Amino acid sequence: MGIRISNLVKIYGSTLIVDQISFDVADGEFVTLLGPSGCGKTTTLRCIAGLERADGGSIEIDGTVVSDGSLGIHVGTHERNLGMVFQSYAIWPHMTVARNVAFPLQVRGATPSAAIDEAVRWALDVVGLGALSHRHPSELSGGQQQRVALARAIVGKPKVLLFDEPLSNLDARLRDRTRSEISRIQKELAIPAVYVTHDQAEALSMSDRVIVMNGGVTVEEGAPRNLYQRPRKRFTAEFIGAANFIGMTWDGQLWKTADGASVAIPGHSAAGAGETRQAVLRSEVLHVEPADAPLSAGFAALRGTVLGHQYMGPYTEYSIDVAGTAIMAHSAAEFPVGSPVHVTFRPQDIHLLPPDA
Amino acid sequence: MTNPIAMAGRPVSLGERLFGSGKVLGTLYLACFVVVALLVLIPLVALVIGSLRDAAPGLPGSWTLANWAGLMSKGVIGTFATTIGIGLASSIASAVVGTAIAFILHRTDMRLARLLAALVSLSFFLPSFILAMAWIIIGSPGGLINGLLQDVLGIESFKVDAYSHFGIVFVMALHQVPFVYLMMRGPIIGMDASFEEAARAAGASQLSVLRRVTLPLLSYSLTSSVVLSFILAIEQFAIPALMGIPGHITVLATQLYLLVRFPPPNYGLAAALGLSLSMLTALALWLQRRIARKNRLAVTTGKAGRLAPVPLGRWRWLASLFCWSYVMLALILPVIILGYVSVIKYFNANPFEAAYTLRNYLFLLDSSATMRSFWNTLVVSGFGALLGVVLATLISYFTLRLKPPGHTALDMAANLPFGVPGVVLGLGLLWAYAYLPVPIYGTVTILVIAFITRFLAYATETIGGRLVQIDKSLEEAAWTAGATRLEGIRRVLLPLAVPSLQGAYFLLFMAFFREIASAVLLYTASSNVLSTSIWSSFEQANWGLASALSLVGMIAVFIFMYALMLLTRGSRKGEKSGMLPGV
Repeated sequence: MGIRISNLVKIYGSTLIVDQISFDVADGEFVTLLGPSGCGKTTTLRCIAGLERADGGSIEIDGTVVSDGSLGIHVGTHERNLGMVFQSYAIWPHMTVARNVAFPLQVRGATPSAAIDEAVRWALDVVGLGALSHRHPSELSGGQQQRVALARAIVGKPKVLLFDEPLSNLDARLRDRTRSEISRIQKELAIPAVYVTHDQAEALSMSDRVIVMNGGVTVEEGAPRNLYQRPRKRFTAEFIGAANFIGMTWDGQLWKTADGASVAIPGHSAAGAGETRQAVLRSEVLHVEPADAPLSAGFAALRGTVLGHQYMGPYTEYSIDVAGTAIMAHSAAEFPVGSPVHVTFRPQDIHLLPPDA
Repeated sequence: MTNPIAMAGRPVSLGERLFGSGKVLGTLYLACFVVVALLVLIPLVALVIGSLRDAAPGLPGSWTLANWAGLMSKGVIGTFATTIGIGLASSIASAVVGTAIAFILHRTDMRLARLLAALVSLSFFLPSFILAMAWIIIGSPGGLINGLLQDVLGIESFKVDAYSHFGIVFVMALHQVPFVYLMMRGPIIGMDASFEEAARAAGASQLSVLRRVTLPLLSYSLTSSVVLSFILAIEQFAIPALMGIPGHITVLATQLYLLVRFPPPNYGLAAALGLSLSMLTALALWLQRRIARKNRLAVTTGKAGRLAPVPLGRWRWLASLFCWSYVMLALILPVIILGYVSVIKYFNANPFEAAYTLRNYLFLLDSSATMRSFWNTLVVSGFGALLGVVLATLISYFTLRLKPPGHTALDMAANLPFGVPGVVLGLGLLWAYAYLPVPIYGTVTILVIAFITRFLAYATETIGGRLVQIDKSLEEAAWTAGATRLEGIRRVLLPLAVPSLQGAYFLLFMAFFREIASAVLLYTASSNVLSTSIWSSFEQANWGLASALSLVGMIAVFIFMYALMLLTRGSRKGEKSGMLPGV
């Protein structure tokens, strides 16, 4: 049955933090709320958990309305049957690993103690911590605490899993590993999950669907691949990955840059003459070639001048002036500042934003 | 699950809107609010009314402003000046000595620093009236030093007099040094090493680092502890009462006491005096809070880098002499003197000619009055402190966590008595319960009420300090795991707060045990506690009995506290540091 959020509103003082957010999460689906800090994503998650009382709209979990502003319904957090992983992990330092994980079952009181032991063992095995059940949290590394938090969230077979930036306190290597771990477990259990993050890599790699938020509203939502390659909003293109924007004008037959170079953009030819749109070019799809080199077959090219460069190890990052716009491109080759170059790309890698982006 | 709304549970009641948590917490909040309001408002209102009446409490009289006009008299203005003068002198002296000791013990390569730190902290628990008694025995005109000078050395021309301004300031400073030390220790230990290392790297010598970086960084903490110890000094009662009254030196606290205690009593003027003293302390307290708040913005410490200890080198002997002299004067010498006086028949400055006896100790065992005062102390300190901790826990939870409507008022009310000197609070209660039809005057109940009111802020500060350290998400995690508010409190918040509850209990127990200022106007023969028994024995010039009682009382208290620590240690097992999860 999943989760259904309709027109959710949350106000702090006179500030509208969440402004009429609506989305559904299907059973077993992994949905990520992605956005910069202060965009309302964490508040939305806390409203689902009942840690914040929504000021308007309704929240339904597994077919049950748990919050409805107009009807004055607010089901307590403890009655919503959730599993939640906090940014700080919130592992209780006065309980062992096993007691932390057993807590959701004990406190609900419906499970006999033998079954609790078994469920705890199961949950700890799922996260790979079976051997540490008698440790105290202070004896665990950050990654292990994170796993305890995950085990505690899943042990009660909740109706929904909530994640509040759970990986932001881990170092980069551990983050990558835990990322795939979390998606694997969520897929295995097929529990609908809402995941909050400001990290695009987490959002893209884990989610079935990403909801991009900004200023308390939904900017755009979609599957990770679509959002990255075919964003409909400039904010999405900017927030996810490094994007270059080049103004393009339709002359009736072709799209042209400000300095008159024409580019064929497949699937984008229906606009009226004289209309200007923004084209998105990801840095990593661009190649930098000497201006006098022959063009590879099937590639489009834009003429530019090198403005500056930064050696990054695997590649050099170039800032290149193309038709009056500075764009970023990567290349393994060396070009001095001021040298004329061609920025080349495959036609399917250029994407035109809709007029209302 | 066909009709989602039918499945949704009930609409939100007003109570839930207020407390978000059902009836139990709501009821507790209301009860807590009422209790604090009664505790704080009754004596304060009584004082205000009393200062505007021309008759003693309980007697018919009329409204008047004469008491407030009486504050303008020459005598009262002189008392104000003496109070402020003694307060400034002793707080500055204790700030200098206390900071120096904290610096020597925690930033240099001083030997036996741990032992000295323990002894200085221990002297914090020596009650002011016991310290004053010891120094009277040592330095009064008929005391030890003069006895030694005259009888043993034959010197007649030079005499010391503890009943003097200098004597009062000296003993007050001795008494407040541990307080300053404990306040300065944290900032000195916790100072970020990189500030000093940056100064060294910039070419500053050890001495100019101290002068141009370390001390300026500490200046807010230092100012703040000077102001706090000034407050303690001007509301100090026992030391100026024991040492000032014989020498006709009156401060506000003792003048108030004299006005009430000795005929003809003038309750109205005493109340006006008490309120103006409270205003003085409140003003100083407001100043201190402002400084403390600025401090938080100025220097962010907490990242305690390992600081290399400053080598004392050839100044080691001076530092040792300084620290050991303090411990000698403030702790060891007074205890030795009390021990000596408690086992001699008649006062004799020469221990080789004195007649020794155990009669004071035997009397303690025989006398039903002393036994009763021991029992009363156990009730007042042991049980009263427990009540205080329960109340403080509730207040801290409501003001810091649940924050229901009106919680700021609760917070203010609980902190208000912090600015009210003990004698003044005692007077307010004396007055109030003379009017109110509640027969608790002269019982230990009124002492418990007085002590809880007076020291509530100490307990809320201790417990609240811990509660804010406990990450909010720990409780939220319990709720998401299915725990109600109450279960979250019981199973997560309270177990994590236990060390601070024990700390607060310890603090209140010691404070109640050594409190004399608010008890001195409220105790009677049947409600005597140890502090008041010692006080009255000493007032009757029975130095031997007062000394014996002091020693036995202190030993008993330390044994009790130690036993309590051993008993509760088990409950802390397993809990390690790491109150901030994930850090």
